[in-house]
Amino acid sequence: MEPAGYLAVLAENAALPPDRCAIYAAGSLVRGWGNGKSDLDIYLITEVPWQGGVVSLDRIWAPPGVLPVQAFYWDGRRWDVEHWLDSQVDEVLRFLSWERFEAGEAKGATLTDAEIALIHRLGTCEVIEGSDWIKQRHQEFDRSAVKSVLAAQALYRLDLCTEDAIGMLEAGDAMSAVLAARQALGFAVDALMAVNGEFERSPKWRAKRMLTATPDGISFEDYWSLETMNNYDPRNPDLWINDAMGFCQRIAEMIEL
Amino acid sequence: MSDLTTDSVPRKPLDVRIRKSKSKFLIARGNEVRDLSPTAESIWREIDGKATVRDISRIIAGEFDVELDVVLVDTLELLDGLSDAGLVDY
Repeated sequence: MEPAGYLAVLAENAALPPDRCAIYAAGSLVRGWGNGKSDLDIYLITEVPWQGGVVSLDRIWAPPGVLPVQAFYWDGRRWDVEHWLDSQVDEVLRFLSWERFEAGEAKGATLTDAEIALIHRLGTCEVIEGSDWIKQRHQEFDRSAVKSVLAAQALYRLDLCTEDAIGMLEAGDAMSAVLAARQALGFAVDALMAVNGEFERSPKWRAKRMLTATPDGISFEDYWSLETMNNYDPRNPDLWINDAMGFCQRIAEMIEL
Repeated sequence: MSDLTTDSVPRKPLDVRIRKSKSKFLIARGNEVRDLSPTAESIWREIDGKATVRDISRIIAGEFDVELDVVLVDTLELLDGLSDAGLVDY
């Protein structure tokens, strides 16, 4: 769709504020990963808060802590329109500064998936309006500590799940250990993807992100074999757990924060 | 001192936490934390649960162009310390 087409649909659905910094379309459809059921995600950035109707006010980290979201169907497809403030983008950028990361200040709070998607999608979006704003913001986040912050958070969660899995295994609770190891595997791959620039966290796209990022030293086949529990033996679950944990440890060794 | 020998096969406990930055390679388990030197990091990376201390030393000796006997002593000393801290099993 041409930019004018997007703008016409947004205007028709009362989703177009008067003064905009930028508008972009993003998500699975724009990346070429979508299907007939996929939503179209629209990011609309302004300097003043959205005054129109919403279907939800999502909780986010960036002050004032809420994200107005509209949704409507057009031509059989759901459009989700997120109304961001330019000042919220500034706040997220400040959150992800190298100074905060090196001082350990980024550990306490956590950005929401909405904020992480907003940033990541600057690099994969279809520009509707405000290409200079999008290009500048993309460069600013590229220079920020976003990859290290998100990788460090994923590694922290990996550590917790690993300790759980091993503790459960030692206690004879193999069933719970398998689930903890599966979580650990997810966090390890998320950490690896983060330092490789694929830092959106939705588990359903993990395999696609692995294929896109092609990280050195880890084969997709090894990952996929573990993800699909190819060699899982219910009579000896320890084997799969140990393989998965070893794989996670190899990933942790590869990640430079 | 442990009874680690050149024929021992060191293993990394699966719950060792690892963090690498530009200037540090940290390994930790429980309250034990070690910041490994670049050489110690190379030794750590060769631990795969199959290679003996001698195998690892041979690789490191080749990599850093140092006499095997010297590397063996250093590797045993490093692994002995890590073993005492619970950061390596064998």
